[in-house]
Amino acid sequence: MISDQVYDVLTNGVGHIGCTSSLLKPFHADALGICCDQATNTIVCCLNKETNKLFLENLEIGSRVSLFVGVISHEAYNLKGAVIDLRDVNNAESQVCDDLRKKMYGFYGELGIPENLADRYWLKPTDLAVVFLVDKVFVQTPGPDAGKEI
Amino acid sequence: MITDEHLPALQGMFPSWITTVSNDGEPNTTVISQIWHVNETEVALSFQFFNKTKKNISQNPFAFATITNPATFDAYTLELKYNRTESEGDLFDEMDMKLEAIASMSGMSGIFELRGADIYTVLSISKNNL
Repeated sequence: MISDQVYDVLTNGVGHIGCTSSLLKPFHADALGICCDQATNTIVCCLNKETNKLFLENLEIGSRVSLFVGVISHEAYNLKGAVIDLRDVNNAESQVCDDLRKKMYGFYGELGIPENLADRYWLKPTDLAVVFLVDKVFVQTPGPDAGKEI
Repeated sequence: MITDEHLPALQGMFPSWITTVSNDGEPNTTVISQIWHVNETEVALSFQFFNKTKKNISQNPFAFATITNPATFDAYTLELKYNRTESEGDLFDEMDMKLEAIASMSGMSGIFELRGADIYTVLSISKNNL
């Protein structure tokens, strides 16, 4: 279900993950790193708890989530599914977050944005792993295929 | 509710994020180029396509958005409720002009026609940095 092309964007892009309350009010959180297991169609989103309180107050095992992830070329995907685990971030996942952050600093540097400014978004403890099982993948790259399920 | 502090984050320099929910409880998170300042209690989103966000809002008026000040990286989250759509007037004309300029620069002039300015009431706004 998760193609190599989608995997590349997942592991190199900027992501936000959304959920809903029982009263159908939406919330989302910044993903500071994303890990993907194509064999099991599972995704791990690494988050900072402190800056995503509203999202976390409305998230539990079984919650439906929507992960938007995109790269600078505007290629983007939306992956949906149900949360199967909420746990601590492990060392390998923490390394993925560090690697992504350094990659982003390189990108920001090209735009003239200093590292200390980028730190305000990226340099946060990643202290929660939201694990979900993907059951739908949509193209979200702007263009004629936007919104198409793949 | 919206003060001068928030205005740099509503200039479209950085993309914004929005999440909506369908009436059967399926969330949808996506990126948008700009959330527009209307007044101290309202913001606007451009309605160009009948996409998932527009469909969800037609079923359930609540939305959640994040905006970022490009100079400080201060991020703010907004709880929103859809109010109305305007298809004429100063705000519509301003949005139409800017979107057409962006489309023109990217070789897509005339494709991304503005159908309306969707006006949302801001229910809450809070700073979201450590």
